Formats: sequence, C-alpha cells, structure tokens
Amino acid sequence: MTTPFLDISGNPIPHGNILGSGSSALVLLQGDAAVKFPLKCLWTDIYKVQAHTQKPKYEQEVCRRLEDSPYNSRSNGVIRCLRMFDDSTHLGYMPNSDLQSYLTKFRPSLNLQFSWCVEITRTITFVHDRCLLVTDIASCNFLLDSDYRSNFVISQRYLFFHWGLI
Amino acid sequence: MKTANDRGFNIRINIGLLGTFIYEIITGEKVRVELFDDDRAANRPYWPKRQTLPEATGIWHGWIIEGCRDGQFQMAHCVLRASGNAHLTPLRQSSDIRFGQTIKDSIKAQVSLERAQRIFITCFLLLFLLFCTFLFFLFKVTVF
Repeated sequence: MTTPFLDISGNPIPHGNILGSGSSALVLLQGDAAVKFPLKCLWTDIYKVQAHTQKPKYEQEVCRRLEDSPYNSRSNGVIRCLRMFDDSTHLGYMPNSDLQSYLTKFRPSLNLQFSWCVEITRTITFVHDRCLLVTDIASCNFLLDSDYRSNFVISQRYLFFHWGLI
Repeated sequence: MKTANDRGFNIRINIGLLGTFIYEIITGEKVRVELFDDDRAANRPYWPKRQTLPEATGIWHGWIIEGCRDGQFQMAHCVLRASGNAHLTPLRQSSDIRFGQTIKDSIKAQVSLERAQRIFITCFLLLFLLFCTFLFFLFKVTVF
C-alpha cells in the first residue's frame, strides 16, 4: 500500500517504511537508520517543497553544533546523526517510540524516573553549553532507545544564542 | 540562522520547561505551558504565572520542579546538581518505603523470635531426654 508522500525522486513511498511525519519533514526507516526527508506530497506546490528543502540544512547546523569533540562524549542524550546529505539527514533509529507514549501507557519505576530526570537535565546542560536553546522541551521530543534511555530529537526547535547576549 | 534573542526565548524559560517536564515524568500528568498567553507583549514568550501551573510541593523532586519554575536555578548545571542529590530523599515514597521497612523489620523480628523459641524447645527436649537416659542408667545400676 502506498501513501500520498513522495520521495526525493518523486516516487510514492510505501506505508510500512514511514516512522513519522511532521509539518515539513518525513521520517523513513532505511536499514538501521531513521532518514529525515523534506515533506513532499502529491498536492504540495513547488514553493512549499523549496521551503521544506531548506530545513534539513538548519537541522544539520544544529547536528554539527551538538557533535562530540574527541575528548568528551556528553552528546549521548541527543539522537546521533549518522550521515548528512543536502536533502536528507540519517539519524540513529530509536525502536521504543517517544517518552510521551510510554508515560501514557506505563508507570515507570522510581529508578527509571530518576535516571530519566538526570539524563534529560544532563542533555539540556550539554545543549546550553553548546550555545543552543530548545523552544519545546516536551516528552514527545524525547525518543527511547532499546535500553529505554531517553534521546533528544534534533529539530527546528533549537535556537542559537550567545552567552553574553541572553 | 534563528537566534534566541530574535524570538525572546531565554535560559529562564528553558529551565522552567525542564521543570515542567520533570513534573510529567514524576507524576505521569501532562502539563500544557502557554508561553504566549501573557499580556506584556504579543508574540514574545513569557514564563506563565505561578497559579496557572499545578502544585508540585510534596512530590518527589518537588522542590526542584518549583525551583525551575520560580527561577531559583540560574543554569541547567544547578538543576543537574540538585537532581543528583534528590535521589537520596524521595519525599512521596519515603513514607511508603518506611512503612514497608517497618513491616519487613517486624517480620524479621517475628521470624527470629520463632526460631529462638524453636531452638529453646529443641534444646530443652534434648536435655530432658539426656536427663531421662541418665536416670534410667542410674536406676539400672542401683537395681541390678
């Protein structure tokens, strides 16, 4: 079964490959990576498509800012960026959906609650240290990996800042 | 490049959102924070008034959540340090844990009391048996 979404070359995308879709991007599962493409539908006009294709560049800028230096590995709480292309970004695949869905279905243990609180605070600390702010710190923006560790998504909701100006 | 200053976002709002998120993890209750509802300026985010947010006192990490919302933490590093220490003093669970511990201790005490009683009775019976055997032999020796 195909969907109304089109890939970069204009071919329809099968339903089973889609992990999620937003207002400007589509996430597909390709091998062990979640690939983020600009959103393109059968009815989307060319101007909107052009606007959507600019967005991966901004997110890739954020990815570069959040990359680890060889001397530290604090970016563990942010989804790993595997590869970057002009029109798509390959990110680490998180098999256990997002934290919001988890919290609506299950009540985590006290230890898990504590480890999430500390992990998430550590991630925000790291993001701030890299001179970025997040406009939407919410449970739907944290994805859970196979070990149920929370990973912050890379999106348009990051803003750059300078410590002296804020 | 979109900068924080252009849009009015700041560290204070970020830490406030972090506090709300911690509240959601601890209570499982989703809180919607309206950053653009303030009358002070249109299209600029402001941290909402205290009354619009749910009460967090009395829950585990409650003082951290309140601190994030009230602007007591200037940086995320301060929240991290506070979160690390908070594990030692879970507020809501403390009474439950203490209650459980009391039950556990009383069961342990009960078990040890029962064991002591059993050992005492066994020893008493053994001694009694030994005494009887001794009496029997004594009687046998004196009669024959």
